[in-house]
Amino acid sequence: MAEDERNKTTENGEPKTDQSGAITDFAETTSRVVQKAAAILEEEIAKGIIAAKQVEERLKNVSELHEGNPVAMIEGFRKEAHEVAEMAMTEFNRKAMSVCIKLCEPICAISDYTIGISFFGLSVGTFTIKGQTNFFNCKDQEPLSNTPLTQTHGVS
Amino acid sequence: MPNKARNDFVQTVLNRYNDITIKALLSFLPAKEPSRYLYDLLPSYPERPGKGLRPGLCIATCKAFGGDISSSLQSAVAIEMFHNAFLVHDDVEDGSQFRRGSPALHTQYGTGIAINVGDALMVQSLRPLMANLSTLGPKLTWQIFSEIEYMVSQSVEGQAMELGWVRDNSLDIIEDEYLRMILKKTCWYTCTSPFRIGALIATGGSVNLNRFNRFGFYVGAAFQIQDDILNLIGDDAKYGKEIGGDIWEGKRTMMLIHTLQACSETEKERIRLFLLTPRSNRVESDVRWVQSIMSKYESIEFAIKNAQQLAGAALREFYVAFGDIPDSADKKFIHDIILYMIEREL
Repeated sequence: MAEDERNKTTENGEPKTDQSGAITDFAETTSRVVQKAAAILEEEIAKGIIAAKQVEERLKNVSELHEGNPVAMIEGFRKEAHEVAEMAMTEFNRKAMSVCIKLCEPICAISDYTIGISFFGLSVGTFTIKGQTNFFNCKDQEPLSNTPLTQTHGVS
Repeated sequence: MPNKARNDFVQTVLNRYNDITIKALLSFLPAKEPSRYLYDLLPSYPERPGKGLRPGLCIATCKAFGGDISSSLQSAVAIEMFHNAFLVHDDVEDGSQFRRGSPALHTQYGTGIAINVGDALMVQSLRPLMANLSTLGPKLTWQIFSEIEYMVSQSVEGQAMELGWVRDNSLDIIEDEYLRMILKKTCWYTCTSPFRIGALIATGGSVNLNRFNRFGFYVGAAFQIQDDILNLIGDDAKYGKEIGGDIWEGKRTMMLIHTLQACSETEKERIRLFLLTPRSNRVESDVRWVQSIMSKYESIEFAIKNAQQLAGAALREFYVAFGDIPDSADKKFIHDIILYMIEREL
């Protein structure tokens, strides 16, 4: 196609109109406004990526959850549960509690029990509490077993 | 003269996708109480004649990448419903009198009811997105939600920039700030997000969606600048809003920004005082004077040239975004819409 002919048609072979002629000519160059637009877009996308990463770190991988992967979710839950437990313990330690119990009967009890938590059939954690609790003088009463006075808890 | 055959083709495709979208959109709107000042008013803007650009781009992109209408329709409906919600609020925020050839909702029912109708449209936009769950599955549904969340956030940020300029009576805005504002306010939700969502649905996320970012920005920016130009020099019967409305509203368009940079200090002071005057106290003669100053400094020609340059860049970028997929009517539609948007009269 001759140069003159090319100048009269668009890339699709359509005749150039006044507007389309100007626009297709601009397609071959990069003008100032286009350069500015490209730079602004890159800036905004970079900002968006940083913001998205911050959000991503705080959210669980929802798509994995929806794909039916309970392990991924449980791992996330464990992490969150630890954070919540830690927050609760901190709060608990900070607050002084006054207890005033008037006992009419001696209380002497042996504890030995475990609480299990499962999610989607998978174990998330267990809490085991063992020990002897004495309020008042228990010497007159035989303990039910020789279990040492311990109290444990754990999250597995 | 515009290329009639090309523009007729674009218009036909737009009309077809718009009809499908509006029909589906109306089916999502509840018909229940309270009806008189809420649910009966939700269809008001969607039923008015609109271009249907956003759902058209979403559906066409989906089809161009091998998807079908049904898989993209609900997302297209959501985008169009968000758009209508924005328009209701936008008319309140700008004090616009007309929308799509009829009185703006707030002029008919009052500001409070209009805002509430806009809120309700926003909420209803979530329903088609939720309905994606049964047709597209959880992963794609979640990704589309993420795209929409970004799109809406960008739109309100851009709107805040523009409203802030009006509130502060800012006169020293530069072109970069204007471009950033329209990137956020217009380009994401008019072009980039519909392209991204359409391709996401068609490919199941296997295509890198960032290929649409520049293309969407250039097309959207050209569209917005052309819209601002038409607001000044268009035919009000075709345009559907009051001609010169942006000057009445004190909007910082590319033309006004150019004029403020080019005019004398005396002229700038007169423009400042005009913009400082509440809209209800502005008079027609002053609006005409601002328009004449824009003509004097060839600000309209400047904007036309910029819109053409951005459309030219969009034509080039089209091949980055769509170059590697097979030719189809939908791919041609997206290509041709670039020139159509610049040559349009409405």
